[in-house]
Amino acid sequence: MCGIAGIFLGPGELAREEELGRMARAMRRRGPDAQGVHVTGAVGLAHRRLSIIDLSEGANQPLFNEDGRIAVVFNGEIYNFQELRGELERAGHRFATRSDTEIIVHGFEEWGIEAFDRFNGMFALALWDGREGRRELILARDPFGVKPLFYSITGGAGSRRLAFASELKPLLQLPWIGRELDRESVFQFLKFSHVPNPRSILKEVRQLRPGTWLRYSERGVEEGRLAIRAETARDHGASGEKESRDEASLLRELDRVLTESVRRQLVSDVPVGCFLSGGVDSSLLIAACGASGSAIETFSIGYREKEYDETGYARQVAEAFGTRHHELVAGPRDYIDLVPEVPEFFDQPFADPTLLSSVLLARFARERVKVALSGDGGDELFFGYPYQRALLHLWPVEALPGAARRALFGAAGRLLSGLGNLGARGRSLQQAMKLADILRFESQAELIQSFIGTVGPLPLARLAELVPGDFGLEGPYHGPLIESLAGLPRDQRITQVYLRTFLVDTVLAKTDRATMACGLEARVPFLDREMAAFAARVPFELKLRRGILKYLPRRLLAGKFRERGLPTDLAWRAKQGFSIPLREWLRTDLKYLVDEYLDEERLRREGLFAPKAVRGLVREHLQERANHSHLLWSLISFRMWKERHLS
Amino acid sequence: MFRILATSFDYRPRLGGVATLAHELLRALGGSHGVEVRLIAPRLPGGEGFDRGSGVATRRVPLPKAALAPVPLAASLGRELLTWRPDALLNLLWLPEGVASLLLAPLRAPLGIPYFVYGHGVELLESDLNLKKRVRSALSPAKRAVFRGARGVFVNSGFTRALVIRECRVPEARVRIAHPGVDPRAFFPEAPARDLLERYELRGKRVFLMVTRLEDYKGVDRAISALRWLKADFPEARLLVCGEGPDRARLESIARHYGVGELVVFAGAVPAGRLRDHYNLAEAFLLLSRSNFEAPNIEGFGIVFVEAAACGKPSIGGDSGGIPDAIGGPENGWLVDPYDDRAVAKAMREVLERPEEARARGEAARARATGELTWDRMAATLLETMRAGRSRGEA
Repeated sequence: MCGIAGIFLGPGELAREEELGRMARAMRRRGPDAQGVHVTGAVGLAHRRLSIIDLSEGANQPLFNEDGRIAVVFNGEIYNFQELRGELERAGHRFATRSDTEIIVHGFEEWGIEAFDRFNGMFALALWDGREGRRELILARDPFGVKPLFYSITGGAGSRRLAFASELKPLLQLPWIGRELDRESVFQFLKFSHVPNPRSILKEVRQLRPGTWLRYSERGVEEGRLAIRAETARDHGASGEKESRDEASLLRELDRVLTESVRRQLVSDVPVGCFLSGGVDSSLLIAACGASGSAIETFSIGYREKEYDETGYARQVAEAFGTRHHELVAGPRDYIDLVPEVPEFFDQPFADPTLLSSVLLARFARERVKVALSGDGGDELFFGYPYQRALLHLWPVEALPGAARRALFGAAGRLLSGLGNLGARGRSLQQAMKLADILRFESQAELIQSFIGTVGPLPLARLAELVPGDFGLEGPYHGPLIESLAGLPRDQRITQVYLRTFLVDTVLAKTDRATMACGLEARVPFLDREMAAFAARVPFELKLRRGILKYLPRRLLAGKFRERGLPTDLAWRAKQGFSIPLREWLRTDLKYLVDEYLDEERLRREGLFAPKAVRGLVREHLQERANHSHLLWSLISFRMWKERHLS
Repeated sequence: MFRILATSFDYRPRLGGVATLAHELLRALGGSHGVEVRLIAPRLPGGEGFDRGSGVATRRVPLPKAALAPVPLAASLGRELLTWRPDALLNLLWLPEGVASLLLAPLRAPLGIPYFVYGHGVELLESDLNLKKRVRSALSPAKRAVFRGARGVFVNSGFTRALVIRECRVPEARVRIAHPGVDPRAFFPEAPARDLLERYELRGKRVFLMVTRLEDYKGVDRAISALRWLKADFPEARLLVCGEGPDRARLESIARHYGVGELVVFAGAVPAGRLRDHYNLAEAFLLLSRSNFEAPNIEGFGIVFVEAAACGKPSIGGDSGGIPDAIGGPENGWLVDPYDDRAVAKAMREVLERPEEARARGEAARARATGELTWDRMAATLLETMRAGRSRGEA
């Protein structure tokens, strides 16, 4: 993991090293090992390095091609760099380092932008092509968006400027980038608990979409898609190509592909470990590590309250596969003490409360290793979320005439709300009311978006009351994405939506920022190119079978467990997930945050959220008439973020 | 001899602004030439012991909660009216004593005894937040009648004066400001007490002091969060918070949240006898109360500002309620937006960066407090009005 940043100023302007140094320092957590800056005319590149492969200073970035006219700053790993290097050396390229980064400049020289299509890995990169007649800066991001990339293009023709960075913080070092909030993004943040790409929380900044590139020069701006993205999005049967092979052969192939992927991703010049939750994905990674012949260090986080604790499963898996296992048992104080630091790690508002667990676990792992494998992506590729299943099962409701359906579920909602306040015992009732509300959807897209991020969390109309303005009801969001998937079977549409929204904006963003906070590189073997392509070929009936989510990986895991003498039940148990008791904490230990950040008068002065509407939510939550913990946490996170970065 | 029969439902040995004001004012009135004062106060544990050395002739009577107290209080007052024949009734609160005075109109009128009432601020506002407050709100017509029926209304600040006029429609001419005061014999500058420097680990530190009950509108939170803007430049700055209350746990959480836990000292409740020593530990005094008209919570004046001033300390006060009157002007301290911790920090920074300026403001504040804001001055103001009212002759 590293951090990249840079600028391309307007004609006649000169980039200054000092400014790029400031940008680099703003993301020093991402790369504590070295800093590099390169300035040439109006262009400047900056890099913070976390050394993983080729620890020598010679591999510090920016890295250049042989004649120094092509330069790159890069965040990520390219796992097939050895193969590509051989190919490029045969074509006459001379390598100065052992680093995977150098592949990018030589590959680009050889194959142009298509070079990126050959990469198997995770990457966000910026490449300066200073050759005569080119003089262009190219930004690119891997197909799943494992690594983040923000950019800003301001000014018109003749005075246009580009800036980019792995995070928002470096961009905020530049006085010419406006601080104005994108109020639509604020609204969407409240809806999804993240800011959906390609938007950012600021009007003048955007996130590069996963699997795309942007070419910027004085001549203009051009955008395009990587071919890898199309390959992984062929997707999930999208092209109609389905494997007719039987379950047994697909199981064998999954085993092989996963083992290969893990083997590739274990390449490192520093110690590698693995996060182990005891769930299906992380357990499979451990099994695959064993198959690769690596004894590995594993890391789990447990909660002192049994209800939230999964460490027992993780311990069993670790013992069975002979890992060197480490457990962190955290209590409320550990979490609460971490809260003030959140805006420092998440420099764009982010409100998935499990990020606290991720940060604690990453810090814990960083004490022993510099790289950790994570099971991210398994759920998205193999249909692993209960919400995905719920969405699939609720979809047929669409067949009912809209007016009748809305009347029916509207009446059901009113009936349920008439049952009154049942306090904590009324949680099922609250969920039923939420469901009744969701089922009054106006369009298919609206139904789908209800299940992205936090389910609910409030009817859009009520959410809009929180953020006054002429926006917020223009949804459904992700409409173009959902429309582009029309014609695909429902399961594929759900899979694609999760891959392109929740995976990148919540799952991967959380892992990146949490590990970045302590200089730990997270790798995600499930998002290996070959694995993704394989998952796309697996028939849906082997992903969701007899109601069992992620059937094929579970089946593989059950076999692995049997071989190691573990009960196979462990592989089939329902997804538990790691949650924290936020609902209770916001009424008790974290109540001070509600008072501090949602104070009516301070909200009124800020003018962004409607104080009375917020107060209504707070009261309902504190009186246990509803569970608004996610929304309150989003509001608190947002205000903490704003205070830290914009005030 | 001018006889004043006073009543204060809130009285020592309770602590707090009204109880302090009642005791000090009545003692000063009783010490005035040609004046005799009697007080009727609720029976409280430790009350009689206090009364023995209080300097105020006090009769304790058992009283229920305020809303139910007017009738039994009227009975006690009625007996005094008949037997002692005072020249004026002075009510330190409108409920229950003001209402009791109103109930006694049939008795007062033939005897020609007027009543006066003191307004503190918050009790003039209404709220429906809980049952107790709703009950008080239901008594609103009685409140207006008490203030309108008084021969004279005294208030602690210009802010409270405006409230009385607005909320109770009392003619402006009948409302007179009588700022609470301080006893310069009890509050004066002196060297920091060594035992306190040790106890709070304040040796070599630069201290800001708050003396307040820990409630959410008092602004202790903003003083704490302001420290984060000072911490880097003034790691020796400390905030000493004297007082207890329901907000303490939240304040401790906030201190941790902003990473200034080690800069804040919660001293707990401080005995009245050591209050002066605490003021004298500080370079400046702070109280950043915010007005919340819905709760309601407001600072009608803030006697603590005057006590701090008497000890030669400048104040940083929240610009709300009667605090501007309590501070008196920029020559005595700083008025800041109580919601804005950067503004608070800016004033604190001035104290830290320009200690001579802070000392000058502290001296000006002391001159004002000891010259204009003594209890004797307050008593003289009240006496002048009450005597004039009596001479008009009607109840």
